[in-house]
Amino acid sequence: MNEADCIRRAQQGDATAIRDLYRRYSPRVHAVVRRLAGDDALAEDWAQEAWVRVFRALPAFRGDARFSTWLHRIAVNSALHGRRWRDRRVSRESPLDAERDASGRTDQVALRLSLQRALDELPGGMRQIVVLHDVEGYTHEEIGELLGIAAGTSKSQLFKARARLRGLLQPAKHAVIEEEACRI
Amino acid sequence: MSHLNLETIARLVEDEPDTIEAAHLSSCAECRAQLEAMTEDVHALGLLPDMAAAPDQWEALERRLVHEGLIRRRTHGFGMTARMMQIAAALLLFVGGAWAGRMTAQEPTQPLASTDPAPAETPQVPGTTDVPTAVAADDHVPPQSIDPRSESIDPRSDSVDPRSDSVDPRPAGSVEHAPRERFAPPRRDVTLASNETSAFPQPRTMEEAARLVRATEAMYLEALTGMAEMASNTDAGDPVVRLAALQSILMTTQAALNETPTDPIINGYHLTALAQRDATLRQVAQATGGQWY
Repeated sequence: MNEADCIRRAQQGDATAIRDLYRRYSPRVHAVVRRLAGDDALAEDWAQEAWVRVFRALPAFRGDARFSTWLHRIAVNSALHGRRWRDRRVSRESPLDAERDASGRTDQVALRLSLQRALDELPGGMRQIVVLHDVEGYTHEEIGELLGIAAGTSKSQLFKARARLRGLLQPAKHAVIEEEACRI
Repeated sequence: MSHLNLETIARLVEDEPDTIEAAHLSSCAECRAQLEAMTEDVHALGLLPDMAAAPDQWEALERRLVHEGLIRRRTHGFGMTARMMQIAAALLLFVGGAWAGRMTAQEPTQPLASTDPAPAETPQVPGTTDVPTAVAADDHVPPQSIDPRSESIDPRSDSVDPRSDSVDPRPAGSVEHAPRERFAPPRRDVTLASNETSAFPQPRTMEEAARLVRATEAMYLEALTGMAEMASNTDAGDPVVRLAALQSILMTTQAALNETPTDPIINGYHLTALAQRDATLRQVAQATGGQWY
């Protein structure tokens, strides 16, 4: 079943087509939601919410945009909504002083893990801007629109976030360099 | 020498340095290294892969989608969803109403209430026990059970009754399914004549209200049946086509009843369609000389 057929059938509530769409796109949706959430349990809730929103809105999807783009936007909106809702209820302290596992490896997997870990440790507001800009490729104008802030604010927050991220990654990188030096 | 701060370096990942920043970078290896590292970070962030969702996430999502009616998990007979059945039932109501309206307009001289000599006493709904409730699609409700009137108590004379025994296609010995001899206003404790609506009982309890609904529903059903039978003499429409349509509606409402057997609305639709089908069957039988049951 091609994507267009799958979408058409899913619009009619076809269980197989809906599951097929989920299988195709759940890694993408989960990735963006997980990175914005910074937490596995929250990510699961937000991802489910994102999918429910997707299937609620699906009958109105007319194909003006690519399905993946449309879906991604809903997932981001859903996660941002989840964060706003959560922020209203929980005043969250950033665990910047948490101990970091510096035993990284030199391969890409280790770098990704380090980045993911560092992203998770960023304060929520900073994380969402880094994720939206540097991971998901949104422009500052788009981020400003999504978050209801000025594009300039998004930009300045991004630079702060990157600086913070660099600070979080630094010990890990040093450990990698030291490990490499030991191997040589 | 003071270094560039990390926020400035973060900006320089994308923006061009001004002359002072460029001069510093050219002379400071540490800041160049920081800029290089941050550029790598940003590049790596853009390459972060997708992430697999938890294996049990689909099950949880599916339950919620089913709960919200966003996913068709089961199909019923004829591939119809519950929503489609609701639509079909609504259609039935609409079509039935339109048809009844048309019939009423065709026979303005025979308003049911005006020819109805049924007693106008205050209804006593709680005592009513002969009201049909949900029935299966194939049930032919024995006329005696739904219409217990006898010849002796039928208040109408043959001259008023549009049908006569001579048009009954059934053999004389056929008593197993006693014919619904003629349409008569229901022997009910509840009367719905327009000039008596002010005396319509006000139920005091939920149970009483439910009984009243069932009683009026049965009255409506019988009235429609009678109207259909009276209309059979004048209706120019093809009864076979109507029969097929009614049969289809019955299958739909039956499927809906299988899912929600106690739903009073669907029961009402089902009973109405059942009565309409039986009336149409009689009409077809009269035309062909066969038996309707």
